[in-house]
Amino acid sequence: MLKIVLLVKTVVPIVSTVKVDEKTGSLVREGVPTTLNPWDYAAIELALELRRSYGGHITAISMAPPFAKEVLEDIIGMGVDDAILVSDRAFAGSDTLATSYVLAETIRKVVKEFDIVITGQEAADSVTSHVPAQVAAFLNVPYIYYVTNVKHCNVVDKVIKLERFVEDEGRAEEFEVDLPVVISVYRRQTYLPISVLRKISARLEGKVKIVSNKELQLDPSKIGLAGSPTRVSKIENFKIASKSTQFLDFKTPDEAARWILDLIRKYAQTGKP
Amino acid sequence: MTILVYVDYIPDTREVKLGETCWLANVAEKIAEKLGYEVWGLVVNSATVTLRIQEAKIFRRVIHVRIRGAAEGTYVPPLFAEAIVEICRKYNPEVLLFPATYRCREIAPFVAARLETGIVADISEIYVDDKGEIVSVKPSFGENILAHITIPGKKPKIFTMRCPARATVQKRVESCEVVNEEFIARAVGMRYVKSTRIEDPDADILPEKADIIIGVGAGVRPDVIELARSVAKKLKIGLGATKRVTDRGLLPYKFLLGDSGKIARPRVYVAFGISGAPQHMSGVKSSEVIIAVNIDENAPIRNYADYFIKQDANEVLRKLAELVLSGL
Ligand SMILES: Cc1cc2nc3c(=O)[nH]c(=O)nc-3n(C[C@H](O)[C@H](O)[C@H](O)COP(=O)(O)OP(=O)(O)OC[C@H]3O[C@@H](n4cnc5c(N)ncnc54)[C@H](O)[C@@H]3O)c2cc1C
Repeated sequence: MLKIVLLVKTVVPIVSTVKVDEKTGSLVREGVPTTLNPWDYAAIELALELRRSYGGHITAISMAPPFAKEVLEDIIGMGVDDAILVSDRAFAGSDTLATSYVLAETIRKVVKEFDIVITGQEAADSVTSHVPAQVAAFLNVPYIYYVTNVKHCNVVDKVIKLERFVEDEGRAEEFEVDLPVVISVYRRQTYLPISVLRKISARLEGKVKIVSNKELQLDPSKIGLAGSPTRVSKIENFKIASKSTQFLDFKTPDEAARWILDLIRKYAQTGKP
Repeated sequence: MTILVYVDYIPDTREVKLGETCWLANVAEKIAEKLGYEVWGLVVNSATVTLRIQEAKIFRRVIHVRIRGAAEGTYVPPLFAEAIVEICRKYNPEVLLFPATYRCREIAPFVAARLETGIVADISEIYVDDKGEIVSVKPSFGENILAHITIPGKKPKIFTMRCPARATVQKRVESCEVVNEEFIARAVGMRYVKSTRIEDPDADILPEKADIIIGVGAGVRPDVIELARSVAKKLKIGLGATKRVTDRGLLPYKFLLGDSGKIARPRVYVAFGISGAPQHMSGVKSSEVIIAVNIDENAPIRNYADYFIKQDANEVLRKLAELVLSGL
């Protein structure tokens, strides 16, 4: 029996559509739909796999505005047992530190007992991958990122053997960890896994519990904007440095290829384009 | 007052990520000059790496914190992070800079949480504003938006920064002093078992670390995509692809650039048969130079391109392959 907690996030599916309103300087999210973070599917897959092998219960948690309830219902449709939506105006403006604090406290106070907390590698919109390590810090438990495989889990002694992949080093590493543990799952090569296509189960009522700060009773100085050490001082649209495109009129592909090769070689030698 | 630059390395082999370290040292030096700070290096649990860094003459001073109870060459994220926390408590640096490597992105946020300070991930730039505040620039939402983020009134301000792997140090120091510290490992309930190199035949052409990338899109035929791969291998540059290419299984997803793939920050990007959809360009648009090879001069990529070559991408790539593979 494993008590599994899944941390998920709703994100904007086509992140490159989000723009800054040049007048107000804030993000235009209106009309931009949200869905489950694509990298969270791998986390869901692993949770389901672990439950299949060792038995147990999966609770998904997301801190988000009320609309995220639907996304949590979808996840339940994929086979997760129940979900908690942590939602309160008091949490608005939380950066990763404050968010991790709220999530960790939700696990501690609402879920209470847990063996594994599973997350996706990062969120497709903000791309920080801070939350798993910070939740682990607040819960005071070990953690590991980029997990590719659970080799073995001893549910009696509460020890798990994990493999992970450090992509930029091309190295696989193996760890033995005492439960409870927080893990993030390596983003797999597949973009949308099969679980998305699974049948959405019919009975969802009452399976998403909504938790606010009334229940959590967290110190206002540790949540929301007040609990966030980072400040966004300015946001701006990425501007392509108003490029004046030069049209190169090569007579033959050969000429073009030589020009490209020269540029590459010159750059490789001088470090300058 | 100091800026600490964390020195990342591969635990198993002790191979130092020297390019990244130099890049961060250069970045830190610029800030330090403005604010009158000093730049120090920080190595966790490796005498070998410390020696290497000392010899490279990047920093005037390097702190080496040995973890008593953990063998050199082993790696446990919370333990490394706790050692860094201890050093921060003792030396109280203003800024702690990490390269945005997989390993550092794992330990840096833990350090921030323990010290209850702020952290900004994967920044592309850092500067001092006119009020003397350190500001980081983080590309977000598929590189569409640049957020300028500060961590006012906190110490240390923590950043992970994307760095080219081939940078060298701008100002070499005369000599480097090593300060030895010791951290006594506490039980973290986690044991490092082993590390294995996964031979990836494409390791040398992965786009995320490359300064120069050639990208292929739906305008390139499957057989020519294979040629592009050989060209990248031969020239030791990166290879990238659009979603239409990876979805068709013509290249593995590790080459996918854009919203659903990787964000690369090359300095030269040559796009072959790519239309320039925003979901793709998000992965490469910060490149200093973009060259488009496309038969359609009205393809949206013209809005990003510095140079536009109206040619059949297949022909150009064939020629390029001929030139490169014949060694001309
Ligand atoms: C949610 C979502 C996420 C997405 N994420 C990504 C992502 O991460 N990365 C990504 O790349 N895409 C992504 N896309 C897809 C993206 O919108 C585009 O469909 C895709 O980038 C187009 O790929 P392409 O340029 O290869 O193909 P096309 O748009 O079909 O363009 C092909 C180009 O090749 C040119 N061409 C044709 N023949 C030749 C020739 N012989 N010589 C030279 N040029 C030729 C054509 O003129 C055309 O410009 C995403 C889409 C969605 C909805």
